[in-house]
Amino acid sequence: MISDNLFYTFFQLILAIFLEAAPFLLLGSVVAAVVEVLTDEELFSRLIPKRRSLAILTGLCAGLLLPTCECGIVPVVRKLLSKGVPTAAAVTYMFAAPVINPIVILSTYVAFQGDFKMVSGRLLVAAVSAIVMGWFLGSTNPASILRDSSIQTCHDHCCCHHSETSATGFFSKIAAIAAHAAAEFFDMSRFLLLGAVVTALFKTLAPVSLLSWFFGNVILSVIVMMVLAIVLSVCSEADAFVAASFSPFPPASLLAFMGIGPMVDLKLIVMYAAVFKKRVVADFIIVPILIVFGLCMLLADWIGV
Amino acid sequence: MLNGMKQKLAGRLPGLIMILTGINILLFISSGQYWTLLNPKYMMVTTVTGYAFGLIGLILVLLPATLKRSTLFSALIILGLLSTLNVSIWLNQQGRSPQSSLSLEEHIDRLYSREKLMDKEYIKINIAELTTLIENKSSQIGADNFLFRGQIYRSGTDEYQVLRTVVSCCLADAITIGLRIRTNFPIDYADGQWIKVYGCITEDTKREPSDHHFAKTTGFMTVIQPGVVFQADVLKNVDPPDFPLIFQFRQEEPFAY
Repeated sequence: MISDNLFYTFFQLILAIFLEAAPFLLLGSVVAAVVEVLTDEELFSRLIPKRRSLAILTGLCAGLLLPTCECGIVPVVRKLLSKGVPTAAAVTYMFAAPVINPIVILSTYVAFQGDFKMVSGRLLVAAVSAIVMGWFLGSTNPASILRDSSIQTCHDHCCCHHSETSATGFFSKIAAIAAHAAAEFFDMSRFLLLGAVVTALFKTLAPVSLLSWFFGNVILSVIVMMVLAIVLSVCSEADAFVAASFSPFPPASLLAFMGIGPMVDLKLIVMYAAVFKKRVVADFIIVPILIVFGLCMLLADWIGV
Repeated sequence: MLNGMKQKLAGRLPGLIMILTGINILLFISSGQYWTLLNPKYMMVTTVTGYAFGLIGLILVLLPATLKRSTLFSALIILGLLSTLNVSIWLNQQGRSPQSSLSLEEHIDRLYSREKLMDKEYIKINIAELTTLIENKSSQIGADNFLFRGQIYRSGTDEYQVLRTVVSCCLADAITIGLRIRTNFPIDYADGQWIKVYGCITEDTKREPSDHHFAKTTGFMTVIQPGVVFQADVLKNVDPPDFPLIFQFRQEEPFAY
């Protein structure tokens, strides 16, 4: 099955990305469906603090309780926002959870042979980016950052006969969750597939030998590794192993690779564009890129050049 | 009446697509080709996903729901992609004899973590594990002899590289890792031939440590370990391993090899 045929490799890569992300996207879709059917706005307003700083803290730590990679987080956050969860908490959660969770912390620790600086540097980069994004958008109304078409009710994306208001019995609730999960999964899969196609194109056609021109210079190598993370769209649970294999590059650039990938990559950009308003998508791309670049340059000496 | 049937079918279509998607995922897992796309350590997660699709689909068949046309379209594309994958696997397997049982040599190869050859003992290791030892400046480097497998490629007039592809999660993160090898005897191998290499790591005095490169020899991004060269005592032709990709790396003996 491993073939030299470019088209076949391209096809395999699309499927590999899809099959790798599918469990997490399905899990995210089921969580989103449960939120849609079983919760009301009052629940979240009771649970999540109103003060922006506390809401951000809640979003920052939520990943420790609900570990998820970036593949499944967009549908969950869309649903949380449409249920009235404060933007500060939801946005912080979206940027923090793919990194600040036990699985990713452990995989980074193993991939870098217990290198404390690399693990803590990664957490710091993710936390700072998530806090800045949460603070930056914290004062906006949740509905104002979602695309109009993205604020879906049951009848917008599935015509199930068991909307949240009518799903009262046990079986009708189960059926409503199933219908929502299926609709959410296939809805987001379109964008996952589109991202996978672009990533597969890059992986099969890009002249990677050009990379070797850049690793002598920290600034250039940080930029190159960030671009690589964005186009490769590697899952946050595996990216530490990929980063570790780029050992000829300076550690700061490996940190940049792991820092930006879970927040901005091709499949995520396509998903963001489907769910959030254009100006918000631009913020979601530009702000983390600037923060990760800045932090990696600041940390370069500490982490080792 | 026809309209009623159409409506009934439309209501059950999402459920049927979910069930077929689940069946396709489970078929792929049972095809024995899972490793070509994903690290086998995730097989359980994918299996659960297949069953979850089936379960959700079953619920939707019993309690029908319809999806938006665009959502239904993407569901059909996914089902089509997975079906194409399974058909291509099935076509690839047609006319092939079932995998032969391991030869005696392969059995012995799996049993021991070291191999003796011409009074020397070699530690069996894979390239990913060996490069990790090099990166960590392990005391074993320079002191021990190693044996690893990979595909040989000519990279210069007198220089060869032995490469093997590592997969952490799925094929999208596949990276080929390589070591330059040097011998005191002439080598005549076709590019891509699987070989066993016996020897030891030495510093690469002929090259600057920064002289390493990224290429696409195997179809994946290739990283050649800088600053070292593997001085080979013996090279042997071998068949490709059951799993040509590396999915597992250990930090001490017995290595995953």
